[in-house]
Amino acid sequence: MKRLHIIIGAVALAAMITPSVASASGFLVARFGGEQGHPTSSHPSAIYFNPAGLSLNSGTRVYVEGLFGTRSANYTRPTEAIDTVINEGDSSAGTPTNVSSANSGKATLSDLFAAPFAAVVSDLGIKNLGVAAGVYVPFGGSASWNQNSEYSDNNAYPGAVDGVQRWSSIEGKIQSLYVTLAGSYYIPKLRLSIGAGLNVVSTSVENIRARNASGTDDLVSSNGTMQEGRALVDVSNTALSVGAGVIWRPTDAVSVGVSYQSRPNFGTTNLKGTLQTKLSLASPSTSDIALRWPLPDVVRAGVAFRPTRRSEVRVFGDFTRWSVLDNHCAMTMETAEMGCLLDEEGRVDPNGASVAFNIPRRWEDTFGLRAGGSYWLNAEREVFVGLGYDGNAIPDTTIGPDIPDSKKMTASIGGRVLLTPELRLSATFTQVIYFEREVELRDESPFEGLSRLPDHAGSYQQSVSLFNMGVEYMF
Amino acid sequence: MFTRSTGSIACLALALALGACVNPGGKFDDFVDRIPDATPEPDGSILLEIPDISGRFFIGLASVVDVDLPILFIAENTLHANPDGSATLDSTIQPLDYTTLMPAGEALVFAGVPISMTGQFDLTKATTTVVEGTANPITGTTLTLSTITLLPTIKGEDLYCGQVTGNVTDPLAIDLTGSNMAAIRVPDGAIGTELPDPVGACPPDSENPDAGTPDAMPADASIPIPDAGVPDAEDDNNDSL
Repeated sequence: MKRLHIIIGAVALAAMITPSVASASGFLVARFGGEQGHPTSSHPSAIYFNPAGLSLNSGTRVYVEGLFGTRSANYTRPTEAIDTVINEGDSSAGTPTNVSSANSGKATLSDLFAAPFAAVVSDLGIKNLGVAAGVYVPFGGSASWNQNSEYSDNNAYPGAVDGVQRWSSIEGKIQSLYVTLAGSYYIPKLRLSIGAGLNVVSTSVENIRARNASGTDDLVSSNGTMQEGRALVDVSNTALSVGAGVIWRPTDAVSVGVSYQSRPNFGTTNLKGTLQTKLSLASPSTSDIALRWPLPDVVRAGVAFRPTRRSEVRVFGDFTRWSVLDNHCAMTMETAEMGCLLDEEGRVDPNGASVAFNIPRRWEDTFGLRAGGSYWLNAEREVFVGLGYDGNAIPDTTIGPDIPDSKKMTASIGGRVLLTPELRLSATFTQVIYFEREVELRDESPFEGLSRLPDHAGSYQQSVSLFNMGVEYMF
Repeated sequence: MFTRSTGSIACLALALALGACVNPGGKFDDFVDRIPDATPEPDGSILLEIPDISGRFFIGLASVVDVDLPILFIAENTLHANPDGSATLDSTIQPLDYTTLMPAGEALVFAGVPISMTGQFDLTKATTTVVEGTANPITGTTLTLSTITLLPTIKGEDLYCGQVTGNVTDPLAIDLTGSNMAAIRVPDGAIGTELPDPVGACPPDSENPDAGTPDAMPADASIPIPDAGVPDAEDDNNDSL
């Protein structure tokens, strides 16, 4: 019963907490297991990274991990990125020159966050078998940008207090919670382990951004009325996906693993919910929408080699097919079956669904590469280090402070200690070093109509520190 | 029931221990609360004679979501004066392509619309109206409206203007309350490039009621009618009182 409480508690925790973006790429945030989370591992995190690893240990293991972190980010938007700056007396829509700081300058963010991982793995008393159940969040992120105190209590520009990044994000969260059942079997004759898992993926997205009808960052219309509004998306759904993998151990010292995690819903999924808008002086309104939400599939491969009985060297990587994420297109619920049809510039094709808004993404495939090693001080104590690189999924044309990805390096250090024959503690500290990103001003908007967004050129900086702490109970 | 408020409390409790708590819905409510209320519109005054707005008018409908990109129409009006001084109006309002200013989609037809002695009338279409994407300069997407009501006041023989209400239901739910329209006289048959710049709301100088006929009250009726973009050829009809 106590063990059941641990699992239920972890599930509840996972449902309520979203990891801040500490991404491998895009908003893939699968860093549970720390340096033990890789495609040749027998660690309980193998339930996601490679289910084939589940049969490489015996007995029953209950593993609960907390991933704790801090994230600081800033975005500096140049004045030149403002759509239209207007001078006093101009009779056109735009941002009055005396309040250009409402739409340009520096926005900052600093978050503490936590994300859980929990799994139970057992051989059920059958040699070479491994079955597991787990809950975790491989895709997600949250952000709450700091306010611009210069515009506190400013009735003329009531939106500006939410920061210069607000046309992309004010506050939001993305979460794909996986509940997985997986199984694995080790075939001694072939020295091969095979595994597969079925995931129930509960995805929810809630995000608010500044928005006006024309897709610009205009604060006022030509007659001086307020133009800035808000759009709040609150959508969710549940879908299935699968994971599978193999691990081959040609010798006792070498492991080679390959795994695959499919796309949730085995393709694009539509999240359903509501879009609340407050556009200019119109009353707030709510529409039922289906938000197109393509998530990628991921291929992982790795090699682990034990040059001595006390050491292991690992090299592994992943390929994430982020190119499936072309648009986040919000369609009316009634017409969503017709699909979101857009031309190259994001204009809506009338033969498709009725579109409420579209956020062009046009992301690119990414790869990541990590290398690490372990050294066993004795049978009870292991120390490990790791170094990694992860690519950037987001092109300059569609980047925004809502998901400010960039190329990044990771450096990790940690260890595991067997406190008793049944209880093992592990801890990993990881520093994610994001490369500073400068995005050039655009000549003109690459997207029109409902796909048009303000220019998010400027400077992006981000830093994330992670601390994984896990407890493993074995019996 | 796990409501937004109980969720916030739970999130706050966890945040104290673990951090990372967001509430986008609360941010939305905060923004709406920060917006000042709109100023009410003044009422109109009684007219001695209802100006004849028969003929062709170019309408700009400045929606509340973006007043700078009016939806454009051409209207063909026939005003029927009644012996008691009241009048009714027949009006066919044709949406225009916002790039070519040529007809786009189906026209809205109104017949026998009574005009009040303040010059106000009510053009309401309570059935589904579709405005094609080519006539929507804001986003270029087809709009479906469950209702639309134009509530103009006749300012003179060459201008009527006023408020617009209604509800867009697709692709977004939008309450059009707060939108405005203005109709300016154009030559018979004028279309496309022959049309002047549109006007999307009552010109500021027209806010005093009527500009076409003397008032019964108040006595001040000597307000010139704004040109409002009417082509020069039509200046004969551009009365000053």
